[in-house]
Amino acid sequence: MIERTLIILKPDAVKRGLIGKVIETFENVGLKLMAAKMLRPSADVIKNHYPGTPEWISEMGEKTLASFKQSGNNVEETFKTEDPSKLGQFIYERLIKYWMEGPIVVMVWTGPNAVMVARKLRGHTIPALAVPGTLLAQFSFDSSPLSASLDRVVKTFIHASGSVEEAEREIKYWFGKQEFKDYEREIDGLYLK
Amino acid sequence: MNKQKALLIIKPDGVQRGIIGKIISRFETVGLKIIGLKFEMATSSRVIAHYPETEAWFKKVGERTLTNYAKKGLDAKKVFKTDDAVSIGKIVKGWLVTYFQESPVFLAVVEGYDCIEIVRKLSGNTIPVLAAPGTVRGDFSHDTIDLANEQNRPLRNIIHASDSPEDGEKEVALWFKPEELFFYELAGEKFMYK
Repeated sequence: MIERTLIILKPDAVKRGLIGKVIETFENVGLKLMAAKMLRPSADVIKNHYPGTPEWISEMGEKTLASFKQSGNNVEETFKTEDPSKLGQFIYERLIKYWMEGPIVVMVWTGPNAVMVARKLRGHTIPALAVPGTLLAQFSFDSSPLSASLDRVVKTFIHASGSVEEAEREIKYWFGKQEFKDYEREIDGLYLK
Repeated sequence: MNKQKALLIIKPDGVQRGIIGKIISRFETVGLKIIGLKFEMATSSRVIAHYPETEAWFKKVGERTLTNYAKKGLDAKKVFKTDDAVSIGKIVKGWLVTYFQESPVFLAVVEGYDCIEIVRKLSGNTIPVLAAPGTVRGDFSHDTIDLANEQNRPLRNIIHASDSPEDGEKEVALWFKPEELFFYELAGEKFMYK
């Protein structure tokens, strides 16, 4: 029941001074901060944050195809290809470029259903499709057509782990052997005891 | 005018009460740049090094404590088993070390023009009951010296903010490695400074 999740604030969130707002949202819901650090990772470190398998790359291409279709935009015109794996590779490279625009903040949060709760509060990956009240909807208007017209990825400025397994893998990836010493909060006595 | 660095530490009472985000937001909103941050359990040696270890400092703290106790008619000797100012200063420092280690602390390095003056202003009077509304300590605490003395504990004032440009440099160097600090431009920086 008690899960851990990895949250990453990407460069645009840091530059816009949204660190406090994001932390506040997670604190308000009752999640507990376990670790936080600012860093500026190399391209390789960013690349390996993602699974990077051929399946994953082509799945990313399929998602791009679908979102272009949905918004009535022509993939071929923008990317000169309709091949999901080539498209995926292209997006992958742009994604790394996005992450390298400035320092990022990496955090570990814990609590009951932390993975689902953090994803819910973050909202839909594409800010334009995110529901009001979620962080991405409150702080961004970005969309697939807009990002494609500007030759960049959609700026999903908060990463939140997608599953418990993903969270554990990502926490290990970003924090290595660092141990997370648990601490008691008085508020936990209201809900967890 | 030069840019200055200040260390902010959200102490265990701020962490426990879930107000890290609200506090950090205030410093971001005013235009200061967070160039490094971490969340960790402070080690005793770091906290000890954070406060001065000089005889003069212990004496100052001890004398202040004695004066406060006397004003309230509280018996300092009963609490501290001594009325020597330096010894009392050392005991109070011990309380501070304990207070800092009640739970992890959130550390942030902020940078900006006149940064020290701004972080002092936003943090407010170190005694929360005297801190003005709109300041971190004035808005999120009401602790008083009397209450702290009565309960034999340090004042809980939520945040530490560097006191002078020299302290800022010294404290940042104590808590952060150079490679944990980052240089970048804020969105809006040109409109603030250029």
